[in-house]
Amino acid sequence: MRVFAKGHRNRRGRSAACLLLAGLVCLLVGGAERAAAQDVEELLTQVGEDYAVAYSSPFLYSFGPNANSNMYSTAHIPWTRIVFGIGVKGMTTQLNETDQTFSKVIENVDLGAYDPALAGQFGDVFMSGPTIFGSTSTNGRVQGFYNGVEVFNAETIPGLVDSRWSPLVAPEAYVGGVFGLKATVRYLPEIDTGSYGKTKYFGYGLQWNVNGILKNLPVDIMAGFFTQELDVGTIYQSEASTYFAAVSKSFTMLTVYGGLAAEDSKMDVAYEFIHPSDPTLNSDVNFSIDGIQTSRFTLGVTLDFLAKLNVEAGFGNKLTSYSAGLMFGL
Amino acid sequence: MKHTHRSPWRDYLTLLILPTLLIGALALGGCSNDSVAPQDEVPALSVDEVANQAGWVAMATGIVGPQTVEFTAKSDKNSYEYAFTGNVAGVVHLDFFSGGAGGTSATPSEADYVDLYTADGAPLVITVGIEGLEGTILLTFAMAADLDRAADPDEATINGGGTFASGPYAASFEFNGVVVGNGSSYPSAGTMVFTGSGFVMTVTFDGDNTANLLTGDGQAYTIDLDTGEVTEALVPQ
Repeated sequence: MRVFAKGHRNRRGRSAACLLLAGLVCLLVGGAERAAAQDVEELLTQVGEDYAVAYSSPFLYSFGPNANSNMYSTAHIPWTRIVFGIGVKGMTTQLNETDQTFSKVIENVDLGAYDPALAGQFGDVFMSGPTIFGSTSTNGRVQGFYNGVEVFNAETIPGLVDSRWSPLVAPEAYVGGVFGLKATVRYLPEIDTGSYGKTKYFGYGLQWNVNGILKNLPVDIMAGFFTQELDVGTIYQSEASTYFAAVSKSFTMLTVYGGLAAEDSKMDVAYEFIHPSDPTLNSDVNFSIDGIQTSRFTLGVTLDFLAKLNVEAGFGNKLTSYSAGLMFGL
Repeated sequence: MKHTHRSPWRDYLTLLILPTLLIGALALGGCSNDSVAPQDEVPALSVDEVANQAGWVAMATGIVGPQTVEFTAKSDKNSYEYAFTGNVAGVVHLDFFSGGAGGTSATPSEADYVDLYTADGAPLVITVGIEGLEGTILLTFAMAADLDRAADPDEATINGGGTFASGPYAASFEFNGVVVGNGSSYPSAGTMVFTGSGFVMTVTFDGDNTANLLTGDGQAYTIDLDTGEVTEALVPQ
C-alpha cells in the first residue's frame, strides 16, 4: 500500500524541522538543520504523492507569499550618496484554521495503485489527517472504499509542527545610491545535511528610484524586482520572484510606505517513497506545485533610529502575510 | 541656504494615508486567509452502494436475530451475553423478561420477551472479504423481541433497530416484525428499513436464503443472506 506507517518524531525535532522547512531559521537555532531534514524526509517517505501534496500544501502555498515579503522598507534611494545595510527579515503567514487538517478524495480509482492485491477493483480513496502544520500527536489515515464499504484503512503520519503560522527568516544586505539604484541580496551559505543533501538559499534584486528624474514629487517612487531560490536538502527546491512598485513618505524618523507587486513562486518536491514491508514497491516521487498568489498590496512603516526597523502587511490576492525587518547601515 | 516653507497640514494628511489604506485593505481582504489545504467531502454513495450496505446488515440479522430465541443458559441471571465468532464477531447482551416488555426478569426458557443489544462502544464487527480484500463494518443492535414458546419451533418477533458504520459512512436500520425461528438462519417474515446516505430502502424477509430489497425510487435488489451479496433485480418483486 502506498500510504501508511506511523511517524515517530519528537516534538522538539518537529519544531526544528519546521523552522528549516520554513526556510532559514536553522541559521538562528544552529545545528538543527540535520535533524530537521531527516524529520521531513522520514515523514514524507512514508506516504505517496497524492498524500504528500495535500499534507504539505500549507507550506507549499505559504512559501511564496512569505519569500516575496519585505522587499523594501522605503522607496527612497539616493542618486548621489552611497547607502548600504545588513540585517535580517522575518516573515509569516497566518494559516486558516482549517489548514491544520486536510481531507482529500480520489474517486473511481484502481485500488491496485495503492496495493497490488487490489488491482482491478475500482473504488474511492479518502485521505485525511493533520497537515504539516497540524497536530503532532494525531496520525493521518487513508481509507479505501469499494461498493460503499471500507476495504482498507491505514494509519499514516502526524503533523510536523502544530502551528497556524508559517514563518520564514532571511538575512539580507543591500548597497546602492548611484543613479537611484539599489541592489539587494538574501543569502545563506550552504549547509550540508549529510545524506539528505545541502540546504542553500540565495536571492537577488534591484530597485530604482525615479525621483532623480521626476523631481519635486511629494513622495518617493521606486520600482524593482527580486528573485530567490531555496533548497531544503534534496526534498524541496523552491523559487520565488516578484516585480513591484512602491511609494513612501518620510517624516523625521518615520517612513510610511506602500506598494503593489506581481509575484509568483514554484516548489519542486522529490523523495523516495519507501514501502514499509515490500522494497519492490519503493518508488521515486516527484511533483511540482505552482504558488497560488500572483499579486499583493503592501503597507508598512519604518522607524529609522540607530537602525531601520520596519513592519508591514502584505495583502495578497490569496494570502495575507506579515513581516518585519531590522537593518543596520546607512 | 535654501529654505522652503511647507504647511504642516500636508504632512498630517500624508500621515493619514497609511491608516486609511490599512483600514481599506482590511475591509477589502480581511485578516483571515483562505484555506489552501484540500477539504474534500467524503464521496457520496450511490443507491447501489447503499443497497450493498443494507445487504450486509440483512446477512447479519440472519445471524444475530435467531439468538433471541435460541439462546439458552442454565443460570438465573438478570443479564446474559453471547459471543459471535466468524464473519460477524463480537458480544451481544440479552435481558429476558416474563410478562412482556417491562415485566419481571426471567430465565431464557421462561421468558416471553427479550432485549438483545450490543454494549456502548462494543459493536459487532463484520469482516468483509472482497476478492481477498478485508474491510470492516461495525454494527450496533438493539432488538426487542416477543418470544412465542408455543410455536414449533419457538419463534421470536423482532422490533427495534441498530446502526451501521463503515469508515465515514453511517446508516441506521429498524426492524418491523421480523420473525425468526429456532434453528433457522433465515427470517420468515417482517421487514427492515435501512436509512443511509440520503436513501431509504426496505428489506423484506420471506423465509428462504434470499431477501428482497426495494428502494424508495422503486429499484429492486435481491440479497443473498448467506453472503450479503446484493444483485439488482430486473423486475420489482
